[in-house]
Amino acid sequence: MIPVLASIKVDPKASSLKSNVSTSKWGASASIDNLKKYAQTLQDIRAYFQKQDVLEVSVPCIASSTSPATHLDSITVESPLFAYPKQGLEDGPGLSFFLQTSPEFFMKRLLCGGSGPIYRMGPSFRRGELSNRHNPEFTMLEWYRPDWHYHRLMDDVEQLVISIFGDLNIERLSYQELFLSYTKLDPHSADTCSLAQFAREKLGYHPPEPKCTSPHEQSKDEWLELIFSGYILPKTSQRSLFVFEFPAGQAELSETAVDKFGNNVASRFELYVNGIELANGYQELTDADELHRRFNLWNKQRQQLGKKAIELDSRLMAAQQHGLPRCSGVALGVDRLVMCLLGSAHISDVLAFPIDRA
Amino acid sequence: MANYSTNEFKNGLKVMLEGDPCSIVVNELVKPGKGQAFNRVKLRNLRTGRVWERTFKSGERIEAADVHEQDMQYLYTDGEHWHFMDPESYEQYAADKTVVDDTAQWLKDQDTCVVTFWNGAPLSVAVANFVDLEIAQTDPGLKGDTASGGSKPATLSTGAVVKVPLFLCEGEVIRIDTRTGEYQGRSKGE
Repeated sequence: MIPVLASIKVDPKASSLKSNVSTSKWGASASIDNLKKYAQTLQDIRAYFQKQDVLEVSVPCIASSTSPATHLDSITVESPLFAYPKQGLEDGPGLSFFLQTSPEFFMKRLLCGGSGPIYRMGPSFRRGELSNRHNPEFTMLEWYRPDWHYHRLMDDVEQLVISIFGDLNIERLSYQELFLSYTKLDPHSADTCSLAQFAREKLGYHPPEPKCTSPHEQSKDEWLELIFSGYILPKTSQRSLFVFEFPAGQAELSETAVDKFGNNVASRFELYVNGIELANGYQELTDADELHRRFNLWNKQRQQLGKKAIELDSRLMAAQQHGLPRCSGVALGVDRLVMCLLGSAHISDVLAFPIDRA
Repeated sequence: MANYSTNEFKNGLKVMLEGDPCSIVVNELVKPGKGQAFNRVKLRNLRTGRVWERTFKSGERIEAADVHEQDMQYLYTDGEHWHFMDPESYEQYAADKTVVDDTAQWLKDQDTCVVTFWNGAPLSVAVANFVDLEIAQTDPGLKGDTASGGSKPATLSTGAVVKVPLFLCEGEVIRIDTRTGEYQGRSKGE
């Protein structure tokens, strides 16, 4: 990883290049200029939603449950309910709380209660996510539009991003179109073996020997994800892309549909700017039984990966039983948005105190 | 044998890959918002020097390589083996051509170099970036011709052949960049 040195200097040319030795132990990682740009972005976002009459809501960071998503790991914290946690009780039911990986479940409870369009901008937390583009604590903007189809939400995302970037031409491609154009493989019809072979050839996927039938090998969707994130996205570093209609196996919490070629697809989109994943949006799944089924599937997958299953959030389940209005929703990484705005390659260019200084 | 999880990957970590000891040069975590994490890794094969690009599923474990580096004094070559000595224990090690490889041409008796050991045996030898060597043979120097920019081949005391400016003569000690094999100037002397 590239170390980014401290600099509290107003000269933009000096920022993030030279360390001011006297502040290197305690100073900010981002330059003051970048922090100003960050602050301006927060203001622009709030101005956008105010104009659109979307209500800003504040939801908890610490909660008694969390997302069971297969590949998300929450940071657990001691229960805030007990002043003096007793020895040996730390792991009991109700004694662990979770820093939220996103505000989604709280926002959906608000939507079920009839909130109308809402947004929340604030911290989210993901264990183990640390890279040039990840910090375990980061700022997420999430919003929901009742009655909107997710293609209309893409227009919304585009308008928001343009209100911040000025001009930006965002292409729209289906997952299948993008996948085909870079790999000549159809993500819907390709078999697992040819995907595995492609990943080994182009990405040096380890172990090298083909073992298509091995139970330790990955599922088809995992191969697709690997090729998509490891091979295709790096090649889009000069493009701004909305990608929609993901394979149905990657629906997460979106509705599924059938595309014009008869493929099962997820009503889900992502925004990538210069190869960086900026936003992930869904036509939100409203069927409470299907939601229950997916959560249970994720928990099964978690256990196969040696992770703890997450006890389902009973309040969310009750709210969804009551009924989530037809809506679409999207989450956008604000730190990364500012990175794109500044053309910065490392998240610590835009964070005052990334985790190694926190 | 010890092994490392991708979580422990960092630059300089020595691991076994496809039968060869490797050193991690670049380690990058890729984590899509909803997808599984994986590591994109560049590794230098310590036997061949080649850089490999590999992708590992996060959480995967690979075997550690028993590799360490040590300062050693170069003693001599008998034509088949190159002999090195640990200056502290006086223990001697012999390395063959596959180990010293092209480095052999820069090895001067008594010079200190870095020997990389794998499972207790020499794996590779590295010399300093700059070495001072004597010209053993070259065509007679053109005195005073310091400006024409021409060059001629010169054989050094170690057997290496390098291009040197026309004005240099046999017996002069010159400085060579061992990474490029290029002449850098006359030795400043010690």
